Amino acid sequence: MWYKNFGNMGEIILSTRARLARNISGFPFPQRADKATQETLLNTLKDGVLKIPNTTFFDLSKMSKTEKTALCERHLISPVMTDDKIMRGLVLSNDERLSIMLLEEDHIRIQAMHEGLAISECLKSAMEADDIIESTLDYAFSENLGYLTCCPTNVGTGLRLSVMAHLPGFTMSGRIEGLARSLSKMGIAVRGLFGEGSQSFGNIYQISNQITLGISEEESAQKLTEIVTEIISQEKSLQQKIYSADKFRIEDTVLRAFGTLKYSKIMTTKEALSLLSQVRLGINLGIIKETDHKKINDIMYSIFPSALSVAYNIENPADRDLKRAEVIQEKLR
Amino acid sequence: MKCQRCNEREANTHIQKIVNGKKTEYFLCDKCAAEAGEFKVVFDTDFDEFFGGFLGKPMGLTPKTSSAMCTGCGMTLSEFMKNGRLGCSRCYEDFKGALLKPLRQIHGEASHKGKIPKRSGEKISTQTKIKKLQAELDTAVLNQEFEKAAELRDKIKELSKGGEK
Repeated sequence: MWYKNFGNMGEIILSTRARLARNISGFPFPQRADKATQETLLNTLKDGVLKIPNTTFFDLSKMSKTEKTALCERHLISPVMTDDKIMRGLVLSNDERLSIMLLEEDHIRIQAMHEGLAISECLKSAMEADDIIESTLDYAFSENLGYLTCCPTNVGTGLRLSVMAHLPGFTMSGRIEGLARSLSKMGIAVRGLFGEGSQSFGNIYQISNQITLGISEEESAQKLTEIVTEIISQEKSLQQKIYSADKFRIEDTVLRAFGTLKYSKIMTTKEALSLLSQVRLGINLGIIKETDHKKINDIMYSIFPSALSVAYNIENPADRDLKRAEVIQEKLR
Repeated sequence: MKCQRCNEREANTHIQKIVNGKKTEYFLCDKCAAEAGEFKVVFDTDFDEFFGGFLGKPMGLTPKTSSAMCTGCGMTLSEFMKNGRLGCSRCYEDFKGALLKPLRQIHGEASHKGKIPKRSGEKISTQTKIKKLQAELDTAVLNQEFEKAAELRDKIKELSKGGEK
């Protein structure tokens, strides 16, 4: 699938996403709707959203928690979609680049995703999906406040643009908090791997816009592109600086990480992500030549707990850690 | 001021702990704050908390106004203050007064400049359309797309003429 691909600036930016929050008028927001209303809503939304070509509908209430978590690990749905408090649906394009969540916090959450740095591409395809949905459904919209959303932090464009960035340079040089602080002053948030409230694993961070009102979609995209481009260039130079400051130690660290991935028997997700991060750094610095980012992406998305559970039908965490080590070895061979 | 833990680096994180009414304060550097482990380093202002709960009062959502209720879904303003989520699109109209100030604090400028839905946006005033086109024009000029900019400028002119009639 696309998320394993190596895209533009793929040595730093793993993927890009554009998300649009939309609600239809005349209905309460999902968490305020009773069961009957949820059902009506889900059917209404489904009909409208399925007008987008090459898409399939999934009823999340008919899926197991593990299956839903596996979708979440691939960023196709947000963590909140894995609960069963509300009847939730997912419309997914066949190539999994477009994922439309039904009855998340808002009635509709359109997500367009792409490997590497591709902010305007993602925005474009999310907007196209939005046009199709809007041709049959009436959006809740106000002249002054724009698209009305459940959380006022999204009101206006309802647009959240984000990139998934691998920033070992910023992290190892102790600059990530400083970066996050100065970005937050510019209305840009830095978060962990799975967004809001999540922890960062393997030096991977989500960088996204916060301002949705008083700014157009294009302006948002342009601003984020400029900022991310600057972060990429700083990250690249930090990686080089770290390497030249302590050449042998860095070589030792990344090669040990590579060795551990290739030869261990038991591997937790957290350890694997941290080792994979070192290997990525080793690839960027030219220390490791036997593998590439594409392979590392493939490994990363194959070893999350629910991905393993679904693929190999294993529920027990200890068995999963064994399987994880085995999968990594096979893929690195 | 030096970090109270390592006494080496400059302190730039201020932590207040209140346990059973007793307040303790720390001034730490980034590194020690992250290592101290007693709390999570929060990268940015959590926007949910920003709305819900503790910032409600300083932002002008006083108890006096919080008994207000949405005519669409029955949500009260105090419920919204608690979890930071609105009940339906009508809430924006009914809690308008209370929402304007916090919206401005988050987004700066409390007026939509983005996309307008084609069908539901038919009734949107000319002025909003002009504002939107103006934003596009600014972007086009920045990107040095002068042909596009000229087109947009003509559209704006046309719309403003229509508005005067």
